Amino acid sequence: MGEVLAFWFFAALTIGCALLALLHRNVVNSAFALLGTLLGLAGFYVLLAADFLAMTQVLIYAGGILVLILFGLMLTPPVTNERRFGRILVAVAVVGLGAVAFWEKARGAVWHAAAREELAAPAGTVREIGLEFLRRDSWLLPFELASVVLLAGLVGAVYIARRRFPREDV
Amino acid sequence: MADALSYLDALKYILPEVALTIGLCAVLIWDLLGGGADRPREGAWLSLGFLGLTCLLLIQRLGWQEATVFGMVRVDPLATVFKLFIATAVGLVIAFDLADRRQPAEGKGETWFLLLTAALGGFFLVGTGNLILLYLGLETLGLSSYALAGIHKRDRAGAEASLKYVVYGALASGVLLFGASLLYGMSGTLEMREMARFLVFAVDEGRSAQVLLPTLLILVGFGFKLSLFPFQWWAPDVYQGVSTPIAAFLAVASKGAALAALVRLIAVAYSGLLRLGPDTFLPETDFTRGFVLLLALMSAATMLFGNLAALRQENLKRLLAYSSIGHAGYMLMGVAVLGEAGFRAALAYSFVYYLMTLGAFGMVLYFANQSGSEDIRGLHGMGPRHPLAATATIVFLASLTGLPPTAGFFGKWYLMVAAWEGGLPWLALLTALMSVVSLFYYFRIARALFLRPEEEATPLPDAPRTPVLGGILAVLAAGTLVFLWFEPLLAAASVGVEAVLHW
Repeated sequence: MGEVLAFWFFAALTIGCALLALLHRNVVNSAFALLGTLLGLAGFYVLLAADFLAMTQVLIYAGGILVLILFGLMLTPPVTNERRFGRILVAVAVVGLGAVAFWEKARGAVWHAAAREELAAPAGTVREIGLEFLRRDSWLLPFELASVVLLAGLVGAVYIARRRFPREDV
Repeated sequence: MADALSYLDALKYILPEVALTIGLCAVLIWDLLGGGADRPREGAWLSLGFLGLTCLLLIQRLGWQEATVFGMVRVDPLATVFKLFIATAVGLVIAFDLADRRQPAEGKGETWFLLLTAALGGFFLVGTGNLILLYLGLETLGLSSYALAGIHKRDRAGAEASLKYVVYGALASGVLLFGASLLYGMSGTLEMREMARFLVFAVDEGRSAQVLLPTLLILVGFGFKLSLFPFQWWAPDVYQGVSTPIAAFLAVASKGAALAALVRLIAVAYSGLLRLGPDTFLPETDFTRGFVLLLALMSAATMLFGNLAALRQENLKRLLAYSSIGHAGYMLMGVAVLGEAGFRAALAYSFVYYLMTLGAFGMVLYFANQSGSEDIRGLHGMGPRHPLAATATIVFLASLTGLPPTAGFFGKWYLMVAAWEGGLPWLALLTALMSVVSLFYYFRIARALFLRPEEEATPLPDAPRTPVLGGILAVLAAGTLVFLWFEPLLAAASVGVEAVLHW
């Protein structure tokens, strides 16, 4: 019972805040509303016994990305907040049509991932995740490739954000 | 299997990737030590050296037994051939960049580094049957490409192109990830090979819509990379805004890698649902019919859009962007057949596309060096003064149009035969029609080269000579012209497809 209540609470938090973020006139308020969505998702991860994922969600999204978004908003000139009802209507129509088209079929979906694996991980998942990341035939290679992705992103970002060509400083 | 291999044996299979990774680290360190700013050319030679080493290792691995190492890296002919495709294309792009006399010297070290990371991403993209590694490869390729598009940050058009590319790209890759996660949810596995069973099962049970939704979402991601209609809007602006070598990279290396990965994904994960596959379980399901129709319509729309929009272009790079959209449509036609012949024809066409598109972009670069302009009018009267490059250009244009005896003709021929026999005769006819349309805009380039009088301001006084670029163009043109080359290419495509289908 408690879990069901928690589920509905997090669902309401996630969806409500997402709607608020979309529809609010003020971009800064939208950004703050996003905080609720991100925390709600973290709540879902806790319910799914994915403690590590929940932690990273709070640390990276709620903590890091959101602050980045707020900085971005502060450093850019404010946008005039005209509301685009036409666009919102089109979006709602498209999503609605898609939902109608797929709802019946999607309801019968069999989720093998959920059915096959034990979800409850009593001792926490951090240790297993760490081991899997370094085991050869498991996630070692994607883990290493992720470092190349980050390196490429870092080099690209620093290069584009760098103000002057170094030689001009001399 | 991988378990039988020792760590070092497993490492041998991915030695090309290891060499490339060492290479990109070396280039980065070289740049940090100051080499990039003062002697950008040496960084390029360093990159080319490591790419050459990678290619040698790849060639050595061409005859190796197929294997899966590190749990998810698939080393088979398809992967190895396309890794060679990517590595050589990136090498040529670096050579193009060295020959480009109109770029600022800024950001060279970063350019070489990002080209190498993009190649590494492409390697994993084409060489895996695991959705996570596929996505990571796609992102490595994508992130590097976004940064490469913005490397000339002082240039307004370049900055705009980069931004457009990153926004569309992030959206497309997010949608793809959503589709992949739905597939994972349904099948409980990230391995394409194991996924196939669940997809067949789901379709058999009458849950086609459930399979169709993630399939559509994944197609969005690949459609963006391949610039398929309706996800092609970024391509003309981006190709025009970035420097010519980077445009060539996006048009050839990035597209080729995405095509190979798409073929592997469809041939493996949907192997039970293929129309003409080795283990097709039912004559034809609703899902298969719908999937074929969807891909065929996408292909037709892409061809129509690319070729019709190219008719009115004045800027050469923009024209080539639309033309490359059209060619993506032709390649998708092969995939749409959902059978061995179609896959083979699509992959073979991608090799042909490699030769002629790199050649066409090299041509833009060559003449832009001479005239300082990337418009068609910049070519006026250039033909008689640069006979070699102009002749090569004619060969590329003939091949892009699909005129015999160039490779383009044979590539298109195989595609049309595959489509005709695969039950899509209307698509084959549309291809023929679009080839006629494309003759109009390709012929405009040839006419500008030879039949238009030279304008007064055309030649730059200090037009540099770029003999190496001319040489590359000549070699590519010879490759395009000598269609005997086409047999080994077709054989390579065939072996690659077979390796995937009978995995």
